[in-house]
Amino acid sequence: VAERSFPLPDLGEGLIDATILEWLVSPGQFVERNAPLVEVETTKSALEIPSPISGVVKELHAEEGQALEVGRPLVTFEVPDNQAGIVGTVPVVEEAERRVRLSLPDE
Amino acid sequence: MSDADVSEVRTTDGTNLHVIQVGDPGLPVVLAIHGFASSARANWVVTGWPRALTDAGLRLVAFDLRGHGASAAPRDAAGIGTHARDALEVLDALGIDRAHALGYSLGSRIALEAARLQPARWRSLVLGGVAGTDPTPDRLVTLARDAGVLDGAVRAVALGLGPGGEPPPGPPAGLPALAVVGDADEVAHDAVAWARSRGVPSRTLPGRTHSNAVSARAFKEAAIAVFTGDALGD
Repeated sequence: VAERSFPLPDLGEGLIDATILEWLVSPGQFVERNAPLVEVETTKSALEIPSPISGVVKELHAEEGQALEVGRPLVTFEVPDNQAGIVGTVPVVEEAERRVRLSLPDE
Repeated sequence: MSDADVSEVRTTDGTNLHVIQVGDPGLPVVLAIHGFASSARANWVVTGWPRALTDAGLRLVAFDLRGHGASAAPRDAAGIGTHARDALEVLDALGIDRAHALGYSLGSRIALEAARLQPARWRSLVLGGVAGTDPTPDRLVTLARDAGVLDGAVRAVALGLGPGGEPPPGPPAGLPALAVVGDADEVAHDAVAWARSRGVPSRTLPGRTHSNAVSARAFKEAAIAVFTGDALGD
């Protein structure tokens, strides 16, 4: 089992932080990708943030009522090792392909 | 978030309204009507309603009120009646005979008027954050200024909504309705008293204000219970 952490995402409109209104999941709970994760409030509006992945919630990094800056840790999931491995290697493969293509004309 | 279809509906007075639809066309429709100085997206989409409604086997249709969001802003002042006729024309244009209405704040007031104009079009009304007294244009301008969203278009919308100062009518007899309001709502603080005076059951959301009640899980659950025919109110 591996862990993956996610920060509070960029909420647009130049917003730098949000307050946790209500967690819609609990530690130990399995959550599907795109299922409701947490409700937050910014100076502009209330928002519901969906889960970025499917996995078991390991830790919630902010309490209800707490303000959190964009980019700070929001939630950590437990994911199967094989899934973590696939996710981790995707950018490397893309970089390798790009490098191959770029090098072709010179060779 | 579920995929949304976006389209334009042209009203009989030539105003283009921006419409968002989520969910299978065969499912029962919830027409969502957003609040003053908001939009379908800000009020309903980013707050998680598409997923909640489609998971419950419902279809969401939401539109930007004239003068809001991506809808046109005609020069003529638009009162509650004009906005209510727009809601009915959105249903007409999409070939929807009957729908549930989901309103928030001004949107709830518009839903009540649309139900008064054509009671048979509606299956139920869920009235979020409805003020027990219609706000005056001055009050609306103050609210928009406090929220940092006051501009020329918002001011024009506010001026069209006069005179205010009266309690909204109740829903038509026999139409299921529920009022939902945050217990810390500073705008619709008299919503429960209004609902009681009109014989409408109500549900309060602990700790929620006028601006953060819209995304509340308890609001969604209460609304869906009405739309799917389960118990009403507290």
